Amino acid sequence: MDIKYIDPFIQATNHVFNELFNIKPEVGKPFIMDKNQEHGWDVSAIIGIAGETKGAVVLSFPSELAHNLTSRLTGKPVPSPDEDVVDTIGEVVNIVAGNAKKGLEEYRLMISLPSIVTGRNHKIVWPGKNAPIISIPFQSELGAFSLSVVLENIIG
Amino acid sequence: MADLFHTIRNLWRNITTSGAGELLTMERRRRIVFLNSINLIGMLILFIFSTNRYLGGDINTAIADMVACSILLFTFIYMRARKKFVFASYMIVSSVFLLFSFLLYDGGGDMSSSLWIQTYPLVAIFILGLRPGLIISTIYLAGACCIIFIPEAAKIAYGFNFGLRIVGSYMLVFMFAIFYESARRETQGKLEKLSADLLAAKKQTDSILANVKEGIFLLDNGLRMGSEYSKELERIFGTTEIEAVPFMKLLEGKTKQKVLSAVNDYLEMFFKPAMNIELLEEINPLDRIELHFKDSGAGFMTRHLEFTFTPVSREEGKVNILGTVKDVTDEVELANKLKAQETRTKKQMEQLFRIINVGPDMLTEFILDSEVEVENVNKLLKSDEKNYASIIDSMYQSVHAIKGNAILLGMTGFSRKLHSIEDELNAIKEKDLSWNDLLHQTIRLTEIKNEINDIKDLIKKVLSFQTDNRLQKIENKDLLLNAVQRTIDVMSREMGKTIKLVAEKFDSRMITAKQRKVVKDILIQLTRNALSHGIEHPDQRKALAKDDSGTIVVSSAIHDGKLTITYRDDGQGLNLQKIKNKARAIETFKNMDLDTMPEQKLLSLIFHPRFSTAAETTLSAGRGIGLNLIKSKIEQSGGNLKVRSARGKFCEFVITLPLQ
Repeated sequence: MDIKYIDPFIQATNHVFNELFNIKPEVGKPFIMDKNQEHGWDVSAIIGIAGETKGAVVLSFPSELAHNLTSRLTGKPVPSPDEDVVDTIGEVVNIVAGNAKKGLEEYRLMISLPSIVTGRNHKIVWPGKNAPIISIPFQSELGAFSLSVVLENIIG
Repeated sequence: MADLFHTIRNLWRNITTSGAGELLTMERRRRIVFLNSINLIGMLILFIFSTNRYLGGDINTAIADMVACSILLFTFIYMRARKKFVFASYMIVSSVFLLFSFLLYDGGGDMSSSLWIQTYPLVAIFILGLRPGLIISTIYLAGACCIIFIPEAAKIAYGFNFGLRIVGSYMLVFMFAIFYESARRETQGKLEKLSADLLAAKKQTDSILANVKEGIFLLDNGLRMGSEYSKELERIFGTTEIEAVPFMKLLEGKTKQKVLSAVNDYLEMFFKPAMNIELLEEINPLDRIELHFKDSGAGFMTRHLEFTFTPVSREEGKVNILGTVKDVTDEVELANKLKAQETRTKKQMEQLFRIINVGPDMLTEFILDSEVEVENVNKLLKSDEKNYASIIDSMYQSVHAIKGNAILLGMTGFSRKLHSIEDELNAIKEKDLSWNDLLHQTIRLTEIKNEINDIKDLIKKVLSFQTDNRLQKIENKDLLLNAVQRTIDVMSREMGKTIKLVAEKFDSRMITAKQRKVVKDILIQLTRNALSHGIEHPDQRKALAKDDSGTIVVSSAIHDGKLTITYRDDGQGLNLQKIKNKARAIETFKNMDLDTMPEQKLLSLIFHPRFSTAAETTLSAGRGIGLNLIKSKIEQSGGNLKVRSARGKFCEFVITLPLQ
């Protein structure tokens, strides 16, 4: 894992939340996440990474934040049914991934389209056997969310 | 209108192919169609003529025609039902034979029979084929000659000249029929042979394309895939939709856009006139490329492919491109795996050596201790602690602790890595800590976790060879003193000193499980200090009339509900002058009056962070955090640390801990 791969995603997250929602999220201290522990999130978007490093970047949200974001985007104050929320999160993370791609241009990396997983404490199948996962918590006026990363080096 | 036409056409086709099974050759089918057509037309004509004759009063001819007509009808139905073509054809030819013989005899209306019989060779040869047709036509000719030339044989008199003309034109038709049929048969034969050869050749080509382990394909001048390509291509690209697909579309989304445009430009070059083939081969951007295919989940499957491209000239000056692609994923991944394996094996060998030397239970304790340290740092990261500097400090202490143990166990690789992390942590302590710095160190923490996991796996493997699970049997007593003894062993070798450990009055059972780690850390740090600066070299000791080997005495006791551990070495003791000098150099103490300070206070200065009187930082000592760390750990546990010393004689630490 190297900070040069993670940084574009953090920048992209900040940028997208700024532009789309007019929110400036505060980034908290990163820590090592226990993949077996209940994470407490309701929606996760998984972005696959391949190339000179392999792994995944996952953005996780609680359902309340997801609903709030959807409301802000669609302009409807009422919490929307689940498909709308899933679509919205998918779109948002898609844009984040697209933004991050620019920052990763100089590295030999491919980013996949995000896959969405929902359900309280849904199980995410993390790539890389027992590789430690770094979790970066974000705090925003609409709620907390997290960006988790697991990346392994290919050679050596 | 078109529908009606179609219906009629289909009906006609149906009727004329009556009796033709699926498996007949083209030759046969043609004959059958001819036969059926003759049948239908013949039936029609005969029916009309029969009626005509009947109305004209010529009963005999009418009956003959009708009979022939019914025979044709019967044959038609028979062939449709039974599909017995050969029988049907002979039936037809024979009945026509008889009919024409009768007509010849009868004369027909106005000698029209002579016209009818001209058609016989055609009927016979085309329906029955060359040889049978030839034979029957000749027989008929013989019969016809008899009827025509033998006087009184026929009902009417043909006359010699007319008869000759009849026979003449019959033979002409006969000859032409033979020529035509032979020529047709020869052509047919050649055509079939050609088809068969072509089919055999195509079968071979198909067999090659289906089995070759490379993707082979052709691109037209629009860079679209051709219809003929090898099956391997479908496997490589994971789709059967290849024909007419633009080549660039196949690569879309599997590599970077920059690469795709380069490939497109490259391939366009093939269509420029006067291109240099060797040059083109050299600048092929696809001669080794990594393509990422989306797999069923959110992940990628990576394939390493090697492409080659060659221009192929087609007619009208058009150029196509012949492409090949080879899947070398296995080879590349194998090479990578081997390289990775080499590095890993080297590391594992070192670790395995350690395990064998040190013992799995000692290593297990090391693992457990190190995991606790990592978890402590992680807890801080997860907590609300806003002061980054304190987190970095804490991480430093933990890394230092793990490093110490690693050195003890002789893990040079790991301890070197930890030392470099310590250097990093030290460097950033001096400046304003950014969030990025924290992320950096968190990544380092995961690297430490990885190393620990590796050792854990290795231990598991080793333990699986042993019958009893020694993980359970970690005994307090042996390990504590063992740790101290090991430190002594390792460092005395390093420093060239000899040390004796006296621990008879030390009872590990007095120490609770919770306190175990703290006590161990303390004893080890004190031992390190004793060996680094406390105890003198054997020569020095001799000069001072001391024993060659230094002695370290460790003892424990319980007084007034408190646990007391005493650690005493008979080395050079603490140098008060050195302490004073060092203190003068440190900001905090500059203002204090060091000369008048009582001895006890001076001695307690050594517990201050950054207060190390060692000359430089080595892997084993220095950095001055050791004693400070110990004191804070003891105080956190609710205890106390005191030091007593006599210059040149001894140095004694007394640790007091509350009984749990």
